Amino acid sequence: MAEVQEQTEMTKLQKALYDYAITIILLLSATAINYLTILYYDNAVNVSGIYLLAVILISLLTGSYVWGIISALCSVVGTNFCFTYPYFAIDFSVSGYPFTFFIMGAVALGSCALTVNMRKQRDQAHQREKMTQVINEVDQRLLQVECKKDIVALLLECLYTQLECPILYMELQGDKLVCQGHNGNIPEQLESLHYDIALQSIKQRRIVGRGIDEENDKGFLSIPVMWQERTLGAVCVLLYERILSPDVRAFAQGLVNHFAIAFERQELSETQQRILMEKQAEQTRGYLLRAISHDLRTPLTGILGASGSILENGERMQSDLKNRLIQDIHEEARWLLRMIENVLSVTKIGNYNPELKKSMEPVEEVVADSIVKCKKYFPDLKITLCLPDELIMLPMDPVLIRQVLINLIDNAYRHGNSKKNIELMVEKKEDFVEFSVQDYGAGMATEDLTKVFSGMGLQKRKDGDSSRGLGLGMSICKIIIEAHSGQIFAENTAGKGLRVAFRLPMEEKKA
Amino acid sequence: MNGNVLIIEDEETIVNVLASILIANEYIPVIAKNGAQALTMLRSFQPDVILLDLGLPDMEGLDLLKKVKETNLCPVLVVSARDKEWEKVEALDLGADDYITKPFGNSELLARIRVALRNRSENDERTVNNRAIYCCGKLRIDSERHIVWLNEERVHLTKNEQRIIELLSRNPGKVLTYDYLIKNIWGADMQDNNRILRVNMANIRRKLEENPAEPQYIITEIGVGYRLADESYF
Repeated sequence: MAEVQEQTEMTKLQKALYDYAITIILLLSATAINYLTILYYDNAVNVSGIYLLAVILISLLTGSYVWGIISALCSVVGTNFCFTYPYFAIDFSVSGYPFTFFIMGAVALGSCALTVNMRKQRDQAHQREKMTQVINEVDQRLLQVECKKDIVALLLECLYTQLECPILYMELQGDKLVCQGHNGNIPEQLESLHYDIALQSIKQRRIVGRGIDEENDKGFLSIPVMWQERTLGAVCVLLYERILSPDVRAFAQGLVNHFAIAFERQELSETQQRILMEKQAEQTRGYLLRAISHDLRTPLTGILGASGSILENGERMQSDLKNRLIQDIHEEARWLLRMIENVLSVTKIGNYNPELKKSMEPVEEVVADSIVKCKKYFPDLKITLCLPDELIMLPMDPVLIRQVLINLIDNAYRHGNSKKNIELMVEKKEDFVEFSVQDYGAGMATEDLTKVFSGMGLQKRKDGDSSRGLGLGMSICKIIIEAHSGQIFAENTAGKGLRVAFRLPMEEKKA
Repeated sequence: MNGNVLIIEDEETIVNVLASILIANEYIPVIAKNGAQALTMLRSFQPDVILLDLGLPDMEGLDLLKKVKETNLCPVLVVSARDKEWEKVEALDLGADDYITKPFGNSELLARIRVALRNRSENDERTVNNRAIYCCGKLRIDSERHIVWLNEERVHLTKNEQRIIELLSRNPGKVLTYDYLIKNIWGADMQDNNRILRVNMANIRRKLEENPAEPQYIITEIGVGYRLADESYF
């Protein structure tokens, strides 16, 4: 900034020298021409005309009243001194002289006013063009912006380069102002007056500042970011000793308004997205409720029936039949328990808890624990684990990921009819880790591969096995994995069977 | 008779089930239906183990646990719901000896009670020499001489790995929370060094476990901590 100021000072001095030189040269040449015309024509008819021409030229070239009037004065005095009788002496007694003087002065003033005006208009047009260019460029860049943070960064960058002052962006949260970012050197602690000014500008919806018109070493300017009835926050400019002309201030407000539109657009698209997500969540919840009531009602019916018949006919019942019924009750109850655990895990996600409580967990511990748990449920489960040697730590809710793994293994075990060991594989890829469960069964109808996670309209398995619990477990897997910003998919592997895999990102996505 | 068990639980069905399992295995169950009852029972009836359900009608289960632990050395087994990991951790940090998640199998419950009773009798007898040596399957840990054997062969552990495994071996069968382990190995200042603990555990596992898919000795309690397997579990 200091450099810029130096530059403008330099050009000021240069301009003064340039104007001075022009004035001297033109006046001298006018005088010289006058001599020549007097020598040639031997009368002084053209003297004032030539001087007038010089005065107009000087006014045009310098664009300054000062030099115009000085040259007019010099011309009058010069005419009087050199070209009127008595030669080389000042004599204002000649009649009509004050009038000549007046004419010369008026011409100088008039032409100066004209040129100054012209210059001003040209400068303004120039500046307007520059501003339009800047705004166009900003609009272009705003189109590529994806999140609010980027808009703020762009806003700060643009205003900083345009105004050459440190910039702060403060947002209204409740009734407090919170700084969202800055560009340039700003003091660590803002004065409370600064906050007051910013708040005032937000409330009055106009630029408010201190030291705008007069020099003040703590000059401060606040431009509200607003659209329609809403005021989002304020852009604060630390002026220090600079003064921003009304034009520049208007330009700054215009620029900020463009950003306000971008903020509005961003807010709208976020709202839209949220509504869409809520709608999706609503759908999933609806599906879950249906699946739960279906999947839970069947085993409950079994339990009620079996226990009822034991209660009623227990004494007359053969003991092996009775044992089988009790065994059934036990099995169904265990099945219910697993389903309820699944349902419980979903309540951890969703509207109740939008943010998962993630921690860095070693993959091998979660995988091993899932297998241990599954073996408890299915003592004859045969599974081969393929883990990388290296210790992988992933951000996750370990209980939920374990639930996913249990569901996938459960699925492969009960529906896969696997002829060989089920394979559980963990592979580290570039920026994610892929977990997959491969069974050696009949696979799944292609049209079901995507539907299985939404649970809608599932076909019966190729081998005619019931799809009980399949939809519920898988859609819960999908909910859990998506809450971890991961993906889950199913595919038929040639020569093997169904493979269900999910990927978890290595690092948490920066919001 | 194996011992007296105080059941603090308000659900009638659960009480019935617990009582029948305990009687069948020669324990004497005594039942308290709420916190106030439990506190009076504790004084009149000297239990060997307490089974405490954290969801009680008249007071916070964790508050009751604190009160019990203030006056009584008796081991406390906390019964907790499966989806409340934080509750388990808090209970363990408040001095609970172990936890069991609802719903549990009969054998699981009996194993936990056996461990709690054994730890108690060892505490009473102060058989320091016995406690210094841990044996389970093919693993033997001597925390006096700082030596670990697996299959009769010495296992070489780093200093911290050694300290972790010794800490676990002095509390066989008991879950030690992540925080507890970190505080005892690295001191209170190292609160957030979860990662270092996990890496150390992974290294120990690689040195001691034959099959990482089914760890035999070091049992991970997801979201809570680690437990060293105990003979009475098998």
